[in-house]
Amino acid sequence: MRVIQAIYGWIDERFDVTPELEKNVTKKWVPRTLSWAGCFGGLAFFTFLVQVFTGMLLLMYYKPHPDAAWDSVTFIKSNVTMGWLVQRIHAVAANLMITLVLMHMARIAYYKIYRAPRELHWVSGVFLLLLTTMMAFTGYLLPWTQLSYWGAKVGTEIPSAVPYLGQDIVEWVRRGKAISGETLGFFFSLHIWILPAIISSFMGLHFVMIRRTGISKPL
Amino acid sequence: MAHEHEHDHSHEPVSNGRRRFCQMCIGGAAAITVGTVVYPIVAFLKLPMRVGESKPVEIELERLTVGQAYYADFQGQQVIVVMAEDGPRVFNASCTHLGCNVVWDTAHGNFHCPCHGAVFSGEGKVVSGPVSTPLREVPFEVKNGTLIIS
Ligand code: FES
Repeated sequence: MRVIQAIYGWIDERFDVTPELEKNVTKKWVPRTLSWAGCFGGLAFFTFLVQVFTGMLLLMYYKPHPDAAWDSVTFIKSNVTMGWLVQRIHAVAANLMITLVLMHMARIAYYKIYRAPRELHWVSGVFLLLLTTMMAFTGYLLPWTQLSYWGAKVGTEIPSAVPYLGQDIVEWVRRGKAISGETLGFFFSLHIWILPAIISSFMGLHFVMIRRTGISKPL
Repeated sequence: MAHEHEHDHSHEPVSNGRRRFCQMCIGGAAAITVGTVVYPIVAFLKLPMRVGESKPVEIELERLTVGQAYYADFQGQQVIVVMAEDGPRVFNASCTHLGCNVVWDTAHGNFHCPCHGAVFSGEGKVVSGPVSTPLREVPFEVKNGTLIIS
């Protein structure tokens, strides 16, 4: 404890952290009218962190190649210590994250919290919902099972309803006419780099905005 | 002051028993929580178990031709079986320079390393190149006409 205090003191002396900490964390009181339902957003963020960390672990063994993907996932589940657990957590927390995001949005919609001055919070939140579902959709293909293959096939079929450009979009997303190794590679890069980068920037915006306006208090 | 006659507690030693107990409970719960998160992560980082890693290599001797080499995987490493006039020899294919896999050159009857050009004789001795240590031999036994590496 002494050591930790000494280190904290040393840093505090230089960067003056204490007032900031008090203002933003330790002395920042939640309005007493806020119910536990106000936790869904924070919980969704927590599941995102779970996904980041379990994802890092899975990435140690996952191989994004049609010949190897399924085997590598099986290897994680049966040969890596606690691999089954990490893989399960990643899959379950994905579902949980979507559920929590929806619950968060339902509460915001029900109490009309999206009204001025918080319109952009809602807009960025809708983007976050889309990005979350895209994370789930791209991740679903990665184990390269029958389910994921057909899931990706049906899912990438959806843009074909767009007039004129539909078929081009479908092929662009699939990186070809059919679901193939190229689709897998594309979804993999989306899932582990492109989408996480975009989603974290939107989260940053979302959080900065809620800090600026403060959370809404019920009337 | 209404409390003036009352006993002044401030100089008595305070019993910290309950506070200690509560602190220990909170600390214990926190430790268990942290443990359940950290343990699976540390366990995941352990070396994974590999299937069939300890499987012995078995080769029937009659399939071996004199002067030819046979490549096999043993415990995740390549081994080379060379059939000489006086019987089989088994080497670890890993070059003793920096560990590339050497290949058997049937025409010259020696091993070549593709990386920095080391050459080893059919007995695994250094012929030329940036090496000073001979190829590592792998122990084997012959049972009922079958060569077994285990
Ligand atoms: S590794 Fe074989 S010569 Fe360098």
